[in-house]
Amino acid sequence: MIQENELITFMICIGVLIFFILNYQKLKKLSGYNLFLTSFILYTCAWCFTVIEGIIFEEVFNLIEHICYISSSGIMVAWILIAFWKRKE
Amino acid sequence: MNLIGILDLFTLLFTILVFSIILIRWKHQFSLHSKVFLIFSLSAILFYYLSNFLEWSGISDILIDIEDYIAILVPLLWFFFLYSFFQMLSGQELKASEKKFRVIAVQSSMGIIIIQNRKFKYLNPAISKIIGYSIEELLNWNEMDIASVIPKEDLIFMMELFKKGKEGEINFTPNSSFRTINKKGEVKWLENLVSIISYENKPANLVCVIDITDKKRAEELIVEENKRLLELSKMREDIITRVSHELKTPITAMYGATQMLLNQFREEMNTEILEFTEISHRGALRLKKLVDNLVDATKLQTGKLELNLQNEDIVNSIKECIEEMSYLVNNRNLTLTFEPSNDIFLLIDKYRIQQVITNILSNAIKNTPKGGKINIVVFDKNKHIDILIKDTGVGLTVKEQELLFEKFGKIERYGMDLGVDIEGSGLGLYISKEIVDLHGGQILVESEGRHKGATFTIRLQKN
Repeated sequence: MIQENELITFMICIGVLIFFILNYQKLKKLSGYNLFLTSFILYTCAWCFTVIEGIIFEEVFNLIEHICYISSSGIMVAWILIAFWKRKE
Repeated sequence: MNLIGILDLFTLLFTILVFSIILIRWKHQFSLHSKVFLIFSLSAILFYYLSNFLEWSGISDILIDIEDYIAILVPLLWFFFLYSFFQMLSGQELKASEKKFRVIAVQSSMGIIIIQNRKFKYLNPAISKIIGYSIEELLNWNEMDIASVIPKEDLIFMMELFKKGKEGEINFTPNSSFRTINKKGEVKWLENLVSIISYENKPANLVCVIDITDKKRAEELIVEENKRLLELSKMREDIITRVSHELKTPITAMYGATQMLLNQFREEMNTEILEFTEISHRGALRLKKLVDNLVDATKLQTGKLELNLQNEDIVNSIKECIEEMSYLVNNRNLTLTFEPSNDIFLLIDKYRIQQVITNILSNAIKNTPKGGKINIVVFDKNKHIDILIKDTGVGLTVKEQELLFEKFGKIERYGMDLGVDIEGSGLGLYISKEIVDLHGGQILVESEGRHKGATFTIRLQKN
């Protein structure tokens, strides 16, 4: 069963993702922007699967959702290392 | 602990790592706003993953009630993080742009002034260098102070310029220049470009000023020098005209007298007297030709040479010229052939065209070594006629061909041992070309080079 708050979170994620894509040229100036964007896309995907699991294959989509979370946070580590560990020019 | 619980544990650990790195490298590149939003969003995500981990590992359900609200905050906080990052970028770009333009304005050798309400609002250091007053002094100047350093006649022009600019009639005045007096009392020439701009949300004049004092001095020198050269040229022409006219009468008298002596008293003269008389006669003839040429050249230059145009037979005119030159042809042992066509009548000044033909023919005779050939042909074309005077003489190099029709452009052949007569004033072909030009025709020259002969073509238009 679809939960309202999950759908709202997913919609907000999509909105923010659109904002990121619209400002892609500016986003490029962020160190490791590709990793940041990938991490956020995976986070959005996780919420997408959260919504889907309420309709079908609850267990499978739940597992995929949590795989998306771990991937997103793993990539976030890579991004933060690039963005914060990189020598300031 | 199940699989999802293990996954959530690692997710949580990764997020804690991210959080720690940010705290360790807190002084890194992002602005404070960006970092605060980043910390908030990571805190929210950390809370959400912690709640997930506790739930799926079966430890506790304590956070599950607020987990959903926190989850909504996460993307919003990411949005604010990036939004503040973009703002920071725009600020940086603006600062870089400002820095760039400040460098241009401060280091430019062109003076930049912003005038608003008849007062200086901004002046760059170049202005101070140009007119000698400090920027502080200039910023306190009023209208009267500005007027006091500009000469009256230039001031009227400047006031008109600013008035028009203010009224929006013009927004750009190319190459307007005026004088100003610097602090040392020296006159400086300035060139300005004025445009209307918006300064602090009000209309203002942006004036770009260049010091052109040296350029103006150079221009004045050029004008003076030019004037002097013109005067000298006029003086030279006057001298040539006067000398030519003064010489003409005695030379004509000498020429006439020696000719009369030779015609009427040849039999009575002994060999020695006859030889001296002939030398005097030849000398007088050469001087007469030179003076005639000088007079003609002056007339051509001052536009005083008038043509007496009449319908004349050009073939007959050529025959007369050949007859006149036959003595010289025989003297140099040359073969002169003329291939006459039918009579061709043209509207020409017979005397002047004969002068041209005689001149080119005499050049051909002088420049063809003994035993050479000269051939004259007339071609009757549709719209014009061509008189070709072709010789087997010493020919012309490319450089010589360029000099040929110049005034006093005599081709120097002295000491070249070409076996030709080197006499001449360097005016004959110049005069010939001018005469043919006055007839609306042209003279063409062709030569394949040294010792390959030359062909002169006199082209005259049919009427």
